[in-house]
Order: sequence, then C-alpha cells, then structure tokens
Amino acid sequence: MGFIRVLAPIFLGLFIHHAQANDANCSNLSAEARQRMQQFLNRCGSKLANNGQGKVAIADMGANPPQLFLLDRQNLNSCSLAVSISIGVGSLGSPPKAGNGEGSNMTPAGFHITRIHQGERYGPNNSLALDGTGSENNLSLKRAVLIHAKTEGSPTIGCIGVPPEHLMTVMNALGPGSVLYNHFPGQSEGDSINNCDGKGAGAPTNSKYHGGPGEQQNSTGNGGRR
Amino acid sequence: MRGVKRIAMLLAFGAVFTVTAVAHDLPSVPSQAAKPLSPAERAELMALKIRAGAEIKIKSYDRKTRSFDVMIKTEPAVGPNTTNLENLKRAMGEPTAARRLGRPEDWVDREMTLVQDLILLPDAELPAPAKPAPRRGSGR
Repeated sequence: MGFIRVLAPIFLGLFIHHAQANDANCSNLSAEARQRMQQFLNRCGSKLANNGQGKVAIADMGANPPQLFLLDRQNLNSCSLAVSISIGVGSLGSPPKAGNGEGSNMTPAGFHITRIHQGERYGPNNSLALDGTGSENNLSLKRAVLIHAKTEGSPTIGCIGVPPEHLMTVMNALGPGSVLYNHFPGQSEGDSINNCDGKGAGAPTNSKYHGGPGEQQNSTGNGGRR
Repeated sequence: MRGVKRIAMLLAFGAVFTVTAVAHDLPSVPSQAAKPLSPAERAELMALKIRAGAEIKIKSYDRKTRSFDVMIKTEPAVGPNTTNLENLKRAMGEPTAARRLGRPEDWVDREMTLVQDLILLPDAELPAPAKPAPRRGSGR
C-alpha cells in the first residue's frame, strides 16, 4: 500500500507532464491570438467548410521569427504544428507591421478564409489563396496573398511563406474554406473578426478562386493548367 | 522507513517537475517531423516558373547579379519572381524583340505577355554579384 503511495504521485506527475508536452511546441503562441481565434470560431465556426482535417491556423507575428501554428478547430489548446514562416518584406521590422495596400509588399493582418488558388505561378497543388474578411485585408484576394512554399529566411512580398517540407501538412490540415488568422500584436485590428465571409466572396462567377465556406473541395484539385 | 518513502516521493516530484520545466524551456520545434522532399517534389512546390500567357511587368534590374525582378500583373503579392536575361529573352519568344529593347536597364517598367514559360531562379541559386570590370586608367 505504501508502495502505491510512492508511485501514484510519480504517475500523476508524468501524466501532467505528458499533457503539457503535447502543447509544448506551441508555447510561443500568444494567449491573445488564441483568444481572438476562439472569438472568431464562436461566431463563424459553423460556417467553415470541412475540407481539411478540422484545423485552423494562426500566424503569430509576435514570435521571432514569425511562426505558423496549426490548431484543432474544436480545441484550440491542441496544437499539432509550429513552424517558422516568411512574411512580406515590407512587413519586416520589430515589431512586424501589417499592410493591405497593393504594392506595399506587406502581409495583411486579420482573419482570412482559405480558398483554392489557380494563378500564373502557383496552383491548387502548391498554394492556398487567402480571402480577407475585413477592411484591414479586403485586398488580399485581389493581390493574391497566398500560403505557399518559401525557403526559410527569405521574405515574400506579402504571402505567408511556409518551408516546403511543411507545406503539404499545412495545406492538407486546412484545405479550402478554413481560416488563417494573421496576428500582429500591439497593432489595432480591423473588423475581420466580426465577418465570416471573405471580401472576395462576391467575386465574379468566372473567378479563379474557389473554396469559400461550405464549398467542397474538388477531389481532382488540379485546375488543369499545371 | 516512513522517512525514506517521503524522501522518495519528494525526489520523484522534483524529477518530474524538472523534466517538465526543461521541456517548456526548449525552443519551439515542429511537433511533426518534416518529410524530406525529393528534388521533383521540391521543384513542384517551389513553382519556379510563370506560365506562358501571363502578363508581367519588369520591376527592376540588378546589375550586380544581372537578374530581373518581375511582377505578375494580376498577382502583385506573389513573389519575388527573380530571373535572368537568358530566361527572360526565351520567355519573350522573339529574340529580335529582346534586341530592340536595348540594354537590360531599359527593360524596367516594360510590360509584356509571356510567349513561353518564364523560368525563375530559386532563392538558393540567386547569382552572386558580378565582379566589377577593371576600369581603364584607374591607376591615376
């Protein structure tokens, strides 16, 4: 009996340690960013598509270098990936600054709905388009702000650059119709947290962007030109 | 005997919390191991070409590296798209057209529709700055 009294705390301690270790890789993610994502999901979670693996993403620009975190949509305390990312060269600085303007070379802040992208360089097999939901990122789709592969340490001109080794993990986890939150700590944010639909949702029907909320991913995926 | 048990419990707690604390102080490392990519997979993901038919604008020319930075007109946030003179000439499709444009510096701000795919340079293979040509009579 005494033996159990000795071992029980050890097992309890190991259990606590194991539970914390699952989230240890994501310790750089700010509580504020996670809280804002929860607020968005409370409002818009039911409207998101289920094309990916039920994940959402936060790009936390407060980490140095900025990091992208993949979180379980149903439990934001469950984090499956933390990876360093590249952001727009115009946003670099301490702290990084968000920007929405064309030609700014900056990465926009706020909530974005992920969409299928078929462009002149990147396509559905190697990128996701980002459709901003607020005034602070209403040009994201028009500028073609994407998630795409980028060699670590080399900046983009507005997109979220993920190391190529992790790109498919991120794309498969999100799929089109999920959400990415670009968190720039200490900067006033717009109204994207209050809107569930991307500002590009009303784009012409011949738009090359697809995969808004509720829209199922085309299983063939390839837009044909690649 | 009771004292030994208490010491063992304290030691166990200490060990567990030390391990936990160390785990939290570790730098952030991806929890999912990155899958190594074959050269073909990497090339596909890096998308080092702009397709024929795309409308581009030449943003700048770097004399040191002899490279151009081009913008896709419909996708201004995609890039940097860096290429060299040979690739650009090939993508223009008509050597004489390239000749008519004169010096590479004069190509900046030009807009064109690509006739062939424009091959881009990977980040790791951007050309090193060219050595400056020796000046004549610079000894004086």
